[in-house]
Amino acid sequence: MNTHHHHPQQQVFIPSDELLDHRSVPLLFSRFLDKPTLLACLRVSRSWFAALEPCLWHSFTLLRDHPSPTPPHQPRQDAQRQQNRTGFHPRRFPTLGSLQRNARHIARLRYFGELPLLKALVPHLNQLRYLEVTRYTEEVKQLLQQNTATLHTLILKGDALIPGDTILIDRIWHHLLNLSALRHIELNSAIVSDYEGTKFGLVCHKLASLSLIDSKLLERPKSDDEFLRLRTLVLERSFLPQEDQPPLFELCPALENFAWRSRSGKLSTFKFLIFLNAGRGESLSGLDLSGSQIVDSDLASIIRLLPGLTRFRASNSLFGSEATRVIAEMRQHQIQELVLLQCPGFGPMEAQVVLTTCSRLRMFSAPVVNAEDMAQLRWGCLGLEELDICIVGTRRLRQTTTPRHRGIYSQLAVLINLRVLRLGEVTDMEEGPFLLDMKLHSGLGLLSTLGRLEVFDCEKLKPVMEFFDLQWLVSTWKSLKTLVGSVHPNFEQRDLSNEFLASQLPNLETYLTQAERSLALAGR
Amino acid sequence: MPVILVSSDNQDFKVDKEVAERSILIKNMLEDVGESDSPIPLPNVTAAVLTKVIEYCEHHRNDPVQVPEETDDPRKRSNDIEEWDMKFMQVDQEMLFEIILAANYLDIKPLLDVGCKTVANIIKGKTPEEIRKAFNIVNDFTPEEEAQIKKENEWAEDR
Repeated sequence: MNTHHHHPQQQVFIPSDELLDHRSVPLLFSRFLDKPTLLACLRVSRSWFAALEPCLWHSFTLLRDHPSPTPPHQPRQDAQRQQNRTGFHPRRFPTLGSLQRNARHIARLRYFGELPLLKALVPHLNQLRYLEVTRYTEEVKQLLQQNTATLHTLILKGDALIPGDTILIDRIWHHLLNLSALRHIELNSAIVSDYEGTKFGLVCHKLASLSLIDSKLLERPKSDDEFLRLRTLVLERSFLPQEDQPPLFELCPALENFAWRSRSGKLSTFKFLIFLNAGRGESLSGLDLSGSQIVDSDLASIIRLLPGLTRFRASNSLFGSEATRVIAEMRQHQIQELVLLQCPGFGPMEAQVVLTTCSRLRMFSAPVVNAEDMAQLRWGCLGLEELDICIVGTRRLRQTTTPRHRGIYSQLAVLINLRVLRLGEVTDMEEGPFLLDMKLHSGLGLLSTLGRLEVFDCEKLKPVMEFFDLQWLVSTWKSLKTLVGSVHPNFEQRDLSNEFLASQLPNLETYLTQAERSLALAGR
Repeated sequence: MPVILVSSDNQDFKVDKEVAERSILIKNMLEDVGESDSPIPLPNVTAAVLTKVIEYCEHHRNDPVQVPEETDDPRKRSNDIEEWDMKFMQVDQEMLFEIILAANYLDIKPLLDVGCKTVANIIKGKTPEEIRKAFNIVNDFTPEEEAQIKKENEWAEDR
């Protein structure tokens, strides 16, 4: 790199002379701030407040347990009575004035329940890009009309508290036609009764992803319709006309992700295979057939016809040895995600085949892995980042090594890229309680290599971790952000342990169960 | 083929084209103009800052093109910084902000991200007063105004 002084007359390029301002710096780094830090930054100075306040409102969620905030004119006593009656805590809810002043910054709105507040906000919500609501009300209709140029994602979920609340697509499809930026739709409990009249096909033409859950498509789409932009199609517990099999798939030549998740319906495998055999599966990289009743041999045939498959989910299915063989022989160097929970035909032998042959595997979930196989495993997938397994047969392991479970822990220890580890143990009542106790003297210390671990789920393990085991955990797994499960069977000990963990790892979130964690994440 | 960049204080910097094109702004300019020896003026970047920017681009000249992150959820965004970048960013606060502004102007996203992550990591967990001290910022709020802001935004602490 050479430097010398420059002569102005040699200038030719005239780049932008847009003024750069230190006041814009907070806005630039705001996307890397977590919420508590963002809140602190608001109080630093006026210019930081002006730059950052919109960031606070960019994504906003209103839940049904947040009733209307106290209007400023309401006497304090009335407000207190209201709080006592409803459990509403003003601290947890923005003031009406603040909401109305900042609603224009809201780009991403999640709104659940029958809150009258939305009516007051609707006139100000003109920059929405993402809208998630439970009911299709007049307010929602108005929002669709106001945000025709910006809204790109619409999620209309049924409300679990109001069963039978069905969204008749007939009522909204014309409005969806006008949304020029719309690319993603997720609809719960939707019915398309009249394909032509409802413009369902016209809307699908502009979509990149469509999810229909607990929905009914009562009329077959036109056979010459093709949804060229659709990349993701999810059909979950949805009913489609019998002659329209495979469901909508034939109309989506560029599909990259397809999910048919159904407990009640049955995918016509024969027709699905015909379409795949005609080359329709070439662009498909993600397939989810969880809950389908497709037999193992058909699953094997499907995988055989998908040259680009990298992500495959078939939990609660008949996935077994034949499909495993195809994965190991034809897809072993491309498959990255394989989720096969609750597949009775996918046993320890099949799990071992996958773990030793699939070189690019990043995510693997399986019902069981045999402890003896685990102890001697030669991993083919050292790049694993997420592992969800239950170990069976721990009691049958010969206890000649020290620490006791060195074989299993030392095998897990080589997976240094693990970010998520869900570990369980399977025993039957005759064998007795679990043995993998996550103690240092049992081999826990061997897992010191898992320096990138962010999520540790021991809900299915029921370990017994004492103080020195926890001390080791907090000093070794410094990246840990989430702990699921109880680290001690005794309630008091568990609570004390969680307190200790929280004091050592302030960002750690603890949950007793995965269901609790899922609820918490959904509410954010 | 080298490219000549000119800082706002009229210093020339002769840089390999491959290094200069880590800046999308410069890359687009060069594509528009084609083969030319003419220097490229950068009126908003001083020599001191441009030196640092060029140092970064030279170190990362062979890095693959960065894929844009698909999430706007800060919880999913990583604030990890490589060791070399961390040492590179050990500068005073003024220079840190100047590097961020320059990276934004020159459209060098990886450098912008590293600068922003560095600032975010510095201020994470700090109180407003500690943030002011870290960046020599004068508090121009009255105590009442600051309390009002805190009260009005308490709702966000739970989300």
